[in-house]
Amino acid sequence: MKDLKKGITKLQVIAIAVIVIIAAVLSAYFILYQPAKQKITIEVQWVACPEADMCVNTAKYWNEHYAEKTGIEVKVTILSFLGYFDKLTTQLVSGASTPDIVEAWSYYVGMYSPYIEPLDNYFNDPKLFSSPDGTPYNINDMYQAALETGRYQGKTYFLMHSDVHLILVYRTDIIPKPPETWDEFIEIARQNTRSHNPDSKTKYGVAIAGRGPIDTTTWKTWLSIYWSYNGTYFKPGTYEPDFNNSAGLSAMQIYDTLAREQLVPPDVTSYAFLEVMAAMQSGEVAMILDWQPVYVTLSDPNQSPLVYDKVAMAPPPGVRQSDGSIKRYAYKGYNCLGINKNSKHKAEAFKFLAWYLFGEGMMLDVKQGNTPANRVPYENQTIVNTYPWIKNALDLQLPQIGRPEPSYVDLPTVQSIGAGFLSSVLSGLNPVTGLESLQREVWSLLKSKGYF
Amino acid sequence: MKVGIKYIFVIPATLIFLFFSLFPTVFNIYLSFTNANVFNYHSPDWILFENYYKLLISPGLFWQSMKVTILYLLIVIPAEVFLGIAYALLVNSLTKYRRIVVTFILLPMSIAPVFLGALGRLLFHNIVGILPYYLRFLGLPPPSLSDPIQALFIVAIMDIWQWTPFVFIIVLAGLTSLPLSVIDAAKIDGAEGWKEFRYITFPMLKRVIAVALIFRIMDACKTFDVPFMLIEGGPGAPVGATTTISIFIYKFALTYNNIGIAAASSILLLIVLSIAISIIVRQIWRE
Repeated sequence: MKDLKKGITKLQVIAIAVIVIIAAVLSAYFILYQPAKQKITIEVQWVACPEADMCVNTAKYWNEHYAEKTGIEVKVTILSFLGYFDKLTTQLVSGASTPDIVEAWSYYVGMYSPYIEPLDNYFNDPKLFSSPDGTPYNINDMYQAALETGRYQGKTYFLMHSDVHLILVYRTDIIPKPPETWDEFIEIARQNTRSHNPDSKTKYGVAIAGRGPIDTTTWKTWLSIYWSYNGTYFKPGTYEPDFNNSAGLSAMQIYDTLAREQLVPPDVTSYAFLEVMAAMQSGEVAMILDWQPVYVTLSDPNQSPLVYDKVAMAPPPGVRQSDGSIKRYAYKGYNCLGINKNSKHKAEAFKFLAWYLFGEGMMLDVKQGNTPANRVPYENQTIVNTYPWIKNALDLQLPQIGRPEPSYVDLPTVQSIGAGFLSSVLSGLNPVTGLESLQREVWSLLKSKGYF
Repeated sequence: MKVGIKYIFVIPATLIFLFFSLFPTVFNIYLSFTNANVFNYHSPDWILFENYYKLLISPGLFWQSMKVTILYLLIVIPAEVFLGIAYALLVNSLTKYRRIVVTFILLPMSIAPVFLGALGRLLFHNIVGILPYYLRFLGLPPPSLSDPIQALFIVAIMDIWQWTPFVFIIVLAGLTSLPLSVIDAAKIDGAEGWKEFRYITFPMLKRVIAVALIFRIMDACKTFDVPFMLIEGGPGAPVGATTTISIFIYKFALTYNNIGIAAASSILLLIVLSIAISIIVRQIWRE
């Protein structure tokens, strides 16, 4: 019995010693060792476009340099262009918590505002509206017009990423001087269409977007023409549409001429902006009216080997005025980014967004070909001289001739209606009938929604 | 006890039906009486029968799209049935390599329609498409997706190419199950070739063909992928040359931001299809 008691006592001592040693080691571990910050992954969703590809590279840079420090990792998802906004609509309306950041076009600010987080309070938080190392950002670095575009009923919902204009891209080996007026545009198109001129180097004189109603580039192309003929969008001081006038008819007749004389490819009604770019890449068209970012692809020898050294940008043609000047407009839109109201990581999403649009991320995109809505690159002569697309934007006076559509909730629907009728005119509908139908449908829509 | 267990086994299927069929249908009916759109989706206003009135009275909307759908059906259904029966008769007469031939004929059905539509955009592209290239090589004018009639025929041809094998396989199954004694007796009596087909084979195959016909009509009415991917239901809008009723409903819901009209259209389609199919079924079964 005494031996047994001794054994138990020794065992107890050993057990206690082991427990004390383990406790000491564990305490030292938790006191001295700082576990790595748990990373949050935020998802940024884009439609397929050149800017989306830029975001992938910029997000990769963030993940390599700042993910560890901030605990925020960024994943970029790119969705197909066809049906993107249909998908985005169902995502937002269904209340899905991802993606955290959504890309849209500036026309959707009002429509999507119920589903997007207002950002005004975030700008006032110095921990969020600053770089990863704490340097504060300045909201006034973004153009005031761009900030306004992202607002609806006084609240900021979206921030503008790229300032995009409709421009003319032409073949410098075929066209010594780009057309200044729409009459010159048609004439040059005739000279470079093989069915009119058998010696033409290109099959068709011009390619434009003609698809509708889901893609609406053709509506924006038409508006650039319409405005140059002095067309007004609404009757002054009202939201009553005013397209059925002489300016509207002149603009419609240009579309009709392009289709009737086969100056555009016969399947032009299946063309959105990517197909227009592809037509130029193929070397079979002499001019295109398309979005500015396509120039980066068209001047890249890897992506456009047939034409990269033969293309140049010009402002869209216009209408000669009595004093000899040319009245022209380049449709202006923005790619914009907003935070999903149902996102579980809104603060983290804003932290990345601030860096992406006001800080280092913005410059990384500029290096890849972006024309931002931020004034800093345009006011820095070194940047202007280094990046041709920034210089081009200033040379073409895009800030002066750029013109956006008025902003209202049903703007995307009006654009779809317009694109649909323009597509009909390109496939043979009488331009007068097309214009009347367009005016009637838009008028009925806005009247039924109580705009006037 | 046994009765109780029977009901327990039915519960999962009932729940699936409730959540994925009954609830969406009832919710859709509710939406059809409202002015729901993206902006007010969670709190739309009641407008009762306004959507139905607009669809039934406006000439350029629902009925225009039904016209496109019926035109589309009139092109694809006869072609698919004719070609399907022809293929089935041919394959049925083969004594060798039947399985290989059947496999090749069925291949188009295995392609996802959305991929076919995307492929069609490349195939028919006027500048880079392979079809226009070879047609020009032969001195023929290439088809144009901007022409409303040509666009409809292009979409129809793609549908015929993909779904004729469906009719073929059903008819072939019917042919192989016909009683040989009847056919042999007919041959002895001198019925061969066209006479055999017309007086013996076809009457026995009628119900099989009817089944294929009903399935194809229902599927063709729902055609969406190919015309949408190829040309977004255009050319033209709001109801383009290839805007089938499915594309019409989609466009109004998501492009024109009028979910109420889209919901009402789908209810009208359900009613029209139910009436049409019941007439066809009754007619064929009566014979």
